[in-house]
Amino acid sequence: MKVENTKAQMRKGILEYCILTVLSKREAYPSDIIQELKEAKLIVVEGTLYPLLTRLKNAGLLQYNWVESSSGPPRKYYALTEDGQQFLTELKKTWNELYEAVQLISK
Amino acid sequence: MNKTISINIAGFVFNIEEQAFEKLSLYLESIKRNFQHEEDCDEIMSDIESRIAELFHEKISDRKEVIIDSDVETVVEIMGKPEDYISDEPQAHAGTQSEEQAEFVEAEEVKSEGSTKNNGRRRLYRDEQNGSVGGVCTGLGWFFGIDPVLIKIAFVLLVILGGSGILLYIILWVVIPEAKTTAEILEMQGEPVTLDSIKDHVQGMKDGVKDGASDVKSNFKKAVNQGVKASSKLAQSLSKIFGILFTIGGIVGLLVLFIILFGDTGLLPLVGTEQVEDLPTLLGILYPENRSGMVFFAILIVTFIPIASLIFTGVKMLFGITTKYKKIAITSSVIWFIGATTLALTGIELGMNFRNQVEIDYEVPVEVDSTNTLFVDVAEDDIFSNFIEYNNVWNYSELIRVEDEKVRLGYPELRIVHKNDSTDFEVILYKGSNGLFHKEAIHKAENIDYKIDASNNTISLDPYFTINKEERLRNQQVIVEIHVPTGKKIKFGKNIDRIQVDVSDDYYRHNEMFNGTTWSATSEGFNCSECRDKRRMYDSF
Repeated sequence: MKVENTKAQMRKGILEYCILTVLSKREAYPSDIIQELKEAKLIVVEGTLYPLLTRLKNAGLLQYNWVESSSGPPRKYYALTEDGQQFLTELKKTWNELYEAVQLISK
Repeated sequence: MNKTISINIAGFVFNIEEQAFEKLSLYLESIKRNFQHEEDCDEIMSDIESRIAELFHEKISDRKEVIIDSDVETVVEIMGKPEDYISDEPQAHAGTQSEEQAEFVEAEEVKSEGSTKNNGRRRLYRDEQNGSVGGVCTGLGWFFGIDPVLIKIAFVLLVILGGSGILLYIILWVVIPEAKTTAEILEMQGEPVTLDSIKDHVQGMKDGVKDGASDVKSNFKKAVNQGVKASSKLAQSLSKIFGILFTIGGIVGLLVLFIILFGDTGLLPLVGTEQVEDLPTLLGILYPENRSGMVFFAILIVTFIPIASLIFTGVKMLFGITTKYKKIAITSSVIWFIGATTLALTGIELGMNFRNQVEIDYEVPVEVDSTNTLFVDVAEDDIFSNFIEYNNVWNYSELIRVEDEKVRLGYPELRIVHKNDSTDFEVILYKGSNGLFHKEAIHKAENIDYKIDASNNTISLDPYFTINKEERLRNQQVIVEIHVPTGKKIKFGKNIDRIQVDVSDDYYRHNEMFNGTTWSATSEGFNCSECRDKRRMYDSF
């Protein structure tokens, strides 16, 4: 068992949660989201984000607006839907529980 | 100086160097593979393309108008390698997916001399590039990791043992998709589909180097490979042996075919004698005027194509030629089927011409004096030969001779029948024929020309009967029946061997022994005097 495997799985598990969190603060377009995720070292390349966003959007958790761009094609600006908001709240709760559980065990 | 191509990404036009373009399109193709089974595929791809267009847009300035190789590399760096785009289907395959991703992460980070681990996801495709006909066997070979020649031999055996192989092959040909794209070829060969492997493969094809198996081999794999190599050698030598057999068999078949079709069948010791007319002549008196040429041609096609392909296959196997001749194979199959259909249709049409059967009887007056013996002779045979013994003729076509507009048929039949209820000899001539309609059959029977001479206690029969060529062969028959009253005798004279004789259904003439025999009709049937050994006549059947 490689430590990298486990790391990758852990990151992947919380990726959706993080994307929803970023979008709960403001509308954003994929490059913005990636910027934040990169800073948090959660994601390395942009490509991974697009399928995730599309899937969350199709699940009704996200919606987007087209915004004209001066530097290329129009951009999709994503925002949370109400469902997304609820979903995020649930995830937040679970995350906090998990965090506490891990803290507790690590003591 | 570099050539540039103009491309359109997400509605924006970019000039891109050829090399960079190749890289980019390979990149997009291999990304797409990760999503191709998802319904969102198009949307994801267009999002990604939009982003790439945006990134390219940033690279372009007044001083730099062309997208170059390094720009594409930067984009790949930002967007991630195809391996990073593992699509996840959260429910069912969560476990395997993450394992796979982990494997890719590992591969990326370990990066052992650029070689990636074979992820073992082989898929079944047809390999038309390396295959002989449709690439079915070669594809199966890839899939099972064995030499395709072994599979080919299995198919050939199936063809020989009942022909099911052909049908199976056609079904598999239709069912199994062809490996068209580089990615599909890699999948077929069980190599992972990554940007690197695609690039390697394309490069390999350009260099004309056939890429071998993956570098990473455990000892076990090596052992398996050696086994495969050994069996491949066996398969090669088997292939050579079959090649020789096919070629020789094919050439012999071809010779026989050409002799039958065009030559003198007398050259063939087993098939026929020099007595037999050649095939076009026989067809000419069987089929309607405008059909015989067509039928001959169809027979030529239907027999020639399999023999030719046998030789072809044999030579290919013998010399290890791997070039595919798909077009020739398909064309000749189509032609073969057309030929076979023609034969079937004309055959049905011919069969219709035999629908009605008719027999007409004529009484032939005979006078026999107080000796009470009727002599039966057969006239000299100027067409066939007096020395043909009817019962040694195996093949009726030996007794057909075509002369100008006449056809001589050398098989009249003589029946000697005992009649209790009469006192005089009776000779009845039956002429029979088949035809499309009843009336036609009657005409054909009437048109049979057969001569019987009756005089001085003797009737003399012709050894053959004659029809006009335009009548065609329609199962025309001539039967002479002699009714012998009790107390009277039949004596067979010269050349009686030349026709088929049947005495009272009891004695079938079998050889020269009928010559000079006398048969007296008694109340119990016929008695033979001068028969050398009656028993031998039964036994010699």
